[in-house]
Amino acid sequence: MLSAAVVRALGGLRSRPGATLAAAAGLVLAGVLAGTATTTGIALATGFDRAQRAAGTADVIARFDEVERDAAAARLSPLANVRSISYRIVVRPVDLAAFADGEVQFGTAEVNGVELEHADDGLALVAGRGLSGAPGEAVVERGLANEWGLEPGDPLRLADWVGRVVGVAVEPDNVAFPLAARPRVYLLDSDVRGDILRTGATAVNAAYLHLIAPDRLPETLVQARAASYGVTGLTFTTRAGVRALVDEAGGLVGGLLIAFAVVALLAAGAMLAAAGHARVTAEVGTIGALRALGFAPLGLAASYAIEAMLVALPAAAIGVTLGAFLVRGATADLLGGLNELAPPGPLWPAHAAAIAVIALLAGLAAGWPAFAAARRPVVATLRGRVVAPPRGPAATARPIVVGARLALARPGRLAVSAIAVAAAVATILLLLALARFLIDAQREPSAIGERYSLVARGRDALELARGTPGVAAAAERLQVRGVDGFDLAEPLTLVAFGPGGESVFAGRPLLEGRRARARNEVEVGRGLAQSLGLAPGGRLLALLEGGSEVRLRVTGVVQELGSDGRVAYTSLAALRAAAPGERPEVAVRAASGVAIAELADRLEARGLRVQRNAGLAPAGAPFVDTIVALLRVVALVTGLVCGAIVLLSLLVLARERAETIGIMRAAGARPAQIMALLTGASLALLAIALPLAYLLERVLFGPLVSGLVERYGALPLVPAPLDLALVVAAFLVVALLTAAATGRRLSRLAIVDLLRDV
Amino acid sequence: MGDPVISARGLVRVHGSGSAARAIVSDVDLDVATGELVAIVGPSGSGKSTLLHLLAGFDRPTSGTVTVAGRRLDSGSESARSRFRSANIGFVFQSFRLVPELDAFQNAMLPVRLARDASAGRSRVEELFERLGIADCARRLPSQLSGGEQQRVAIARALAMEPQVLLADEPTGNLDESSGAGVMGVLRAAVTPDRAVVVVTHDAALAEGAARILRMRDGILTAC
Repeated sequence: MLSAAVVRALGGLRSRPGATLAAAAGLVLAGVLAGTATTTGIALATGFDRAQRAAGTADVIARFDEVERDAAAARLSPLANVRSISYRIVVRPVDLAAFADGEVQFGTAEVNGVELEHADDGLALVAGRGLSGAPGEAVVERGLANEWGLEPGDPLRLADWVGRVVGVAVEPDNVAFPLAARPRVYLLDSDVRGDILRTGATAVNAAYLHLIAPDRLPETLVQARAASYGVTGLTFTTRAGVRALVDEAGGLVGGLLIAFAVVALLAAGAMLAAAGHARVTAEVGTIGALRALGFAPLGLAASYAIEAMLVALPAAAIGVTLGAFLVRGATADLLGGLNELAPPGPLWPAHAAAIAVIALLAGLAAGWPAFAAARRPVVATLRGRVVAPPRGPAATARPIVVGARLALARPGRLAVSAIAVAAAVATILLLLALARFLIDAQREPSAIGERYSLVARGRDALELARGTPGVAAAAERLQVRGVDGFDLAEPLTLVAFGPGGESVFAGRPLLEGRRARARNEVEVGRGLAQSLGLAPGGRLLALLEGGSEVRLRVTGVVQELGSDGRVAYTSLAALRAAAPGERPEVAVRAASGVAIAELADRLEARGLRVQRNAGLAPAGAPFVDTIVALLRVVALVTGLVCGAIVLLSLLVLARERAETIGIMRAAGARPAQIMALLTGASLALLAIALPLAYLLERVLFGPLVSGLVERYGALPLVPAPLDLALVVAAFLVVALLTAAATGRRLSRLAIVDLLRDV
Repeated sequence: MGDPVISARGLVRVHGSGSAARAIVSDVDLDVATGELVAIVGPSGSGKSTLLHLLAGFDRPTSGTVTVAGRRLDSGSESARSRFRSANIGFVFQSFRLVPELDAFQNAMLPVRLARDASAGRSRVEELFERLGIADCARRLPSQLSGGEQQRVAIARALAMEPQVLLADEPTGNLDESSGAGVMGVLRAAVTPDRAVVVVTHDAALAEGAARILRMRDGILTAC
């Protein structure tokens, strides 16, 4: 029976080359969606761990004020759980000049002086080689190499040090330049001391600790802090802390893209199911004939499944490869910005799995309805395609109404097609909402509650800013980094605004509890609340940079989109008391109608250093642009998939209703009227699918994605009216184009052929 | 007898190609005038229906010409041919071919709607329903009608635009004797000084009522 099933399957493919090609085209698009989703999702989900493994990142990075290497070693080496330690002297800012691509470029860098025997500790080399001990060698971070076009062999100057680039590396303990303010350059510590610091002392200010038992990290951190007398400004960064640091820049969008991958795969699955089901239900008559010839229901199901899989395998392979290729560049850019490594090669196992899943889904989608049809009595099946009875007479014979009724006469199929289209459209709406939100959050700080456009620093900044024409309001803003007092591996940021703060900062949206009012009260971001198990009524104990500590009572949990949600808002008095050495900046709100650039010039003219408040992604415009580009590529691919579903459903309808179309043509229907009939059918589909898509986005996809990135709080992933209007307009065009294409094809067939069959 | 309203010259329709090519209609010449009822008889597979399809413009001949009411149907755009067919040719199928989603009246109104002639066409269709005795069936769906009623609705549809030519392909083939007799009467009545009727039939009684009977055998048309 199996060989007969295969023979029928091959015959089915040969007999309908047009339908086979149409099905293949739909499967290619589903493959593109799956390839896009798997490439983006897997690369982002694994990029951090891959980079950490390749670099051999330390379990703990201790940073402190400069101290003699022997003094630091005397404190750290005796720790019980430490396997090895490397020390660095980190200097910033250092004037940097490089000659690359035929031009000299200037900037400032963070120079890391490393020990020769640990020269590659924490670095993953991506080009050239590491430091060998020879004079005049430098390794530069990949972000700098990409931005300036540097390659091994290019000359480099750092203050008085002159040498050449010998290697390019990634150090995944922070985001990359230009997301980070300064690029990192690695020299031998002796070069740093001799040519940059010009000192003979062997001072260090960072230690990279590799532990024997990484799971005993908290105890080691407590021991290290207890043993750190004489070492000032001590802070620890752990792997978890590094991940949090990196997440500050990319976690939100990375999480959103992974969530999208899940949603996109669901949409592809729904589309495959709809296509396969439609294909088989149009062939009920043939199934009846085959049953009459002795095919068993299971054999028939296998035959249709084999036929579908024979088309699906090559089509999905093409689609998945194409999808992976389409987003490879944007994904690599995104990973580059996060100092993470792209997968070493194509994700063959994941892509093979995606292809296999698509083929299996296609097989199931064709096999199951064939099985269901074959189980019906042979006589009933032999009557051929089931032209559904109408539900009451039509009010008019206008072609567009007739077309809608033809589509509505098969509510089951219409529902499956509508769900597939709705899933894809909802994905598009979600992507557009995300893209719009990211753009707003980057360019319009008010989107995340911030009313200030500029940040000014300098002596008497507050008075000077308030006295500048065009300033509507100004208030002090103090930001101090620290770690949780109980778990030193948990980084956090405390922020406070001075008097008049409410005029420049509206407060993050409150998710739980109430606003902080008293001096020792604090509102914590959702991410921090989740990490530390905090809730209103709880206590936050924070160890600040510099070693002081502050105890605060949690009154509320707020939505915090920046810094992985690990931010807490307290009073300026409390934060100042805890960190007296920290100098606040001034948040400046521009008066209505005043150009930000012009106001920045005015403040600078008063001797202040001014920065623009870049909202969610400080200094990260290219980064957010990359993500937005990625989201739009995926939205476009999803749109194509939608178009394919609409076309497929029309082709199936045309096959099933060939006789009706033939009758209408015999009665004098012109090609335009046949197109109107098909437009009516696709409008019926869209009339169900588009509202369903909006509901799906609001009720399911949006909350699902928000839930996957819950640490940031509730994201406002509501489609903008303009996006909604654009999507509706685009799909009306899709309906017209697909109806025109199908109608044109049907109008070219002889009426006798339509009346006979299609 | 009026002027020729249908004129076919050297009409050939070949199915298949190469060694599998087979002429279904061979070198047919035919003239039908208004006011004339012509019956075409012949065994199954002789090419009667194919000839009728060519005369209706449902199919294009392999060679030869078809002219209906002064217009060539073997050439021209599909859009123009559809418009012409809607106004000038009515067709009755053996198996009725009613649109199952539309009620009887809407089925008959279909060509009227397609020609955007709804206001004038509506009264014509209502009158036809009265004349054909199916006024009570107007709001019923095809599935709720008997075979005879369905064929009358199909005839009403064919006459809705008052065509100059009415073509009927085995119109009584799916009907019992009494229903067939009724349909025959309707077709005879459809012959007017401004209209020609061509009927393909096995029904000797229907053929006998025709002014002219032609025989088709192996694609060749001859006078009886």
